Amino acid sequence: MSRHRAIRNLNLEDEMDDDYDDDYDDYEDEENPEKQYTYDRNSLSTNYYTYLTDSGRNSPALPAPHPGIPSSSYHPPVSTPTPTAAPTTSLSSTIVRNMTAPLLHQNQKPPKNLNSRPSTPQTSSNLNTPKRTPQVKNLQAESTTPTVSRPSSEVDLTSFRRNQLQNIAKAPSVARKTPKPRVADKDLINLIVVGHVDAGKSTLMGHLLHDLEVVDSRTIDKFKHEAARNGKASFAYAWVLDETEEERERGVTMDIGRTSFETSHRRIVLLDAPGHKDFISNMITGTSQADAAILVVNATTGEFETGFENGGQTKEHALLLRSLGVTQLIVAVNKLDTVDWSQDRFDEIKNNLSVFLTRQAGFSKPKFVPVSGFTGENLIKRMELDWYDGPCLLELIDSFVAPQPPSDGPLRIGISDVLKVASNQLVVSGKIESGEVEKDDKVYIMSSVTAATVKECANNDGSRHCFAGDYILLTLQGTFEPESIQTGSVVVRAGPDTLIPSKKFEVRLVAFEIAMPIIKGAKAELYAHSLCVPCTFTNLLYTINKSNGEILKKGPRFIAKGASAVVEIETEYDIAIETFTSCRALGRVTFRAGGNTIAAGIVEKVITPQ
Amino acid sequence: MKQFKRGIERDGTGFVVLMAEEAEDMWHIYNLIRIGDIIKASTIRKVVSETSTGTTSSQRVHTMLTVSVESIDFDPGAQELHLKGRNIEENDIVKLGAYHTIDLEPNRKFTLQKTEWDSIDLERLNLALDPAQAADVAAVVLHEGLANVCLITPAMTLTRAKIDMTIPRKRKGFTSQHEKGLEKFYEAVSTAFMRHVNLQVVKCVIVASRGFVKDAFMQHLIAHADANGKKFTTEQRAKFMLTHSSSGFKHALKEVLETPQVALRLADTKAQGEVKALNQFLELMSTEPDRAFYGFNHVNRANQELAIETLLVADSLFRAQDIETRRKYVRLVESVREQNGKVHIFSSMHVSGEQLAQLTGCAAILRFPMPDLDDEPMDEN
Repeated sequence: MSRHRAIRNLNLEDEMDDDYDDDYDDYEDEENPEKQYTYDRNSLSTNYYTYLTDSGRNSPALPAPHPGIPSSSYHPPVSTPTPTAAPTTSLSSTIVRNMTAPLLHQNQKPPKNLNSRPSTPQTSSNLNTPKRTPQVKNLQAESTTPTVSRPSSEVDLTSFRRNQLQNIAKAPSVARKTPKPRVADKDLINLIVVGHVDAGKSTLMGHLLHDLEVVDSRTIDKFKHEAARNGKASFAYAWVLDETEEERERGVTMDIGRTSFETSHRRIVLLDAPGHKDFISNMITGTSQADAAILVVNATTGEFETGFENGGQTKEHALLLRSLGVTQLIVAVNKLDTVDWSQDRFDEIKNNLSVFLTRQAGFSKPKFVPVSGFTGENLIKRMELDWYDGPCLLELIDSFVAPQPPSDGPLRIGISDVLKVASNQLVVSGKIESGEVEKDDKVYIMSSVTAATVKECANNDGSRHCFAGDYILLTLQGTFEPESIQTGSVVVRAGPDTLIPSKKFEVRLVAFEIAMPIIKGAKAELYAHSLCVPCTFTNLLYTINKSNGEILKKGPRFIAKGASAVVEIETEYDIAIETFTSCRALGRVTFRAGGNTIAAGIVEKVITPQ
Repeated sequence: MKQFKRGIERDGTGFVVLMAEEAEDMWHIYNLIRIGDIIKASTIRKVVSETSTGTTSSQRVHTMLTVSVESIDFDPGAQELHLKGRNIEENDIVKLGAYHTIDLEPNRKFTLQKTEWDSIDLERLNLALDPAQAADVAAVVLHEGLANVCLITPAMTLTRAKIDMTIPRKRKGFTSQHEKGLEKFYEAVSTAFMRHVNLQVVKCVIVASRGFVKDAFMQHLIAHADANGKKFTTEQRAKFMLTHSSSGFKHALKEVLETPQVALRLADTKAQGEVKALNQFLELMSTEPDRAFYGFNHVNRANQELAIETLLVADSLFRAQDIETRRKYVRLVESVREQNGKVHIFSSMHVSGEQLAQLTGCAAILRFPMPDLDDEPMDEN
């Protein structure tokens, strides 16, 4: 209790910077006047997502006010969402806000320690739990760096693997060349398009790409012709992104479609997510790489309701976006041509959705735009409507704010696709979550602990020196065993700030609207970055009061819907995720069971057997 | 399972002579044998003999041995039970007190002697002897890149094959790789299926996946069987049942067994009954938590109040090394039965049993709410 009170009185400028580690010095000055980012008791009412992401990778807010960054001058004024301006203090209970206060525990660490660079990520777990330190003492003695105090992850690890991991952790971190700042005139934004099945996501994006002349008319004509021949004339634009035979045949997007285009101020990497319930796992993989999102809803009578009410994916997608750290959102109200561009319909949808999006999901200022993906109105040109005078979809996309990537952190690349495996060469693609990578770098692939050398790496523009935030293609050289490298592996560098894989974690989570409570022993699929593994809730530690983070009950029998709790989970094998404080992208987890998202949370602690 | 002789006294001591006939029986035997029991069976012993000149020669000799069991090891894949213990009946080749490991497998006759056959043991024995029990179901759960080929018998879910492959995702202009990867994956699953599933024996085959994977796989499987000269007959084809599951992980089987369509076909299998009971418990947990409790302390307290309607116990508890623990649970089961409560003994080889085992292995649905139980400490298992 008293602990919590003390925190409330703390000065949040320090708190916020804890998560920023190295950026601390850069931001210190600018932040002081930024009173709206200062923590006060009242802003607690915003949900946990807001808190999590305020200083997160997706945070547009912190970098935006930085006058020194030239690129910020590009930001159109509309584009600076202020997270703390989100819902007023007395907002009714939101499903997801309850993680707010508990998070403060983590921030109790003295900033001093955190600023000492190399020890940061790993020691943080020790700092959190000082009482554990004596137990791991002997291990600490073995190595010179304190980081190895996190012992290897598995009891039945062969000693070979244990030694290997320890050696990797002990290796001195290679002195990095001074990072060359990227000279890019346009900010890069990873944009994901989500929504209920058949809302028209692929068609909308296909049409947009056509209008932008990314796809030429000849191709579109070809698609139109072929689609008509199969009796699916309305799917022609969707075929731009739905490329596999099966997707076209069935008229459903099944996996993330990826393409890129440029607007006047932004470079956009477009991720087209599947809307069907069965492919949410693919949608999660895509969202974990995104910075901003377009939520497409179908305005046709009855269709919006199916997508929004029980069983529809509109809600689930929105909640997933938020729990995966996406804060900027455009809602595209699609297929308005089917209801004669009725203002009543638009307003009805807008009102319904904004209540849900701001109160329950916790988006600060979702923007609504009426469009028609099939006929192409209001996509790149403003349309003449007597009741709508706002920007068109493209203008809104152009106003997204690029995230400030924590590029100084240790190298972490989440592998989202393995393209080619040979015994000595590997081609993978993935997103750099933090750090930077170059040709000839020596790296390790976790959790299989495979050493490799970077032979080639390139992002979308063909740049050879890749930074955090980039989605890259990576060619690695080494000796690889078939099937040892899978999606969900993470590329790291040796050194004290390396990532030690484990199979037991302590997770702080919020249960979604679930029919069955989470009980001890329940099985679920765990999603983190592009990883998906089965896991078991091995122990329910305690439930937490949503508003102030106090422990409600130790050893609860179950976690009911909407409750917040700290639990212990165990996966079947070692996986590469780490605490939220070390790396946000690798510390966010989502649990699904029986085809429904049951909870979302953050990794608090990596538990290693003694 | 075949029984040749039963000699169990009223006080619970006694012996039975049994022979396992199939894999399932081995599981029952594993659940019957505990440390301290006496096993008599024919076995092979390596005997080293020394001649007068000092040279040694070793021979493998078939002999009948009687050992007091000290450790039990069950290999569900190979269907073998390894029982290690000390010899208690001296013969020509093996000294008294010498260690020996008897391997039990189907079609080997043996005698099992216990100092105490309790109600759970007898129930298990009778269950194993009931020939009507056998009903095998094969199940394939899959999603893109992962498949589990399982056999579901009344008491066990055996994963026969797990296929885990990475399939390249679709990429602009490179969709062929994705399709090629899928093709390879279906081929691997089909091969595994044909190898491990005997369509003559199984009553029903469940193919479950999300999306369209199951249809694509089914098509591939039929083509595969055709190409390998094992074309499915209409009768065999009728055994297949396509249904939805949210993933290809093994625990998705629980979901599959719940679907009404499958439930109908498997109405009276044990696996199905267990899933139903566990679901009822979970549902109650969310709607009326004061009527659903788990953990021995809570359940035992509820039992003292005669409150238990349905008791769910994992059979792993009855395999406890410590005799006291076993007795504790046997008493609980007997007392619930006396009060006309229902008792489900879950097989820990099923997915539902695995979950119950995680849940302290012991749960109860009560006749009436007992809110004050919540305040008592749960036991730590």
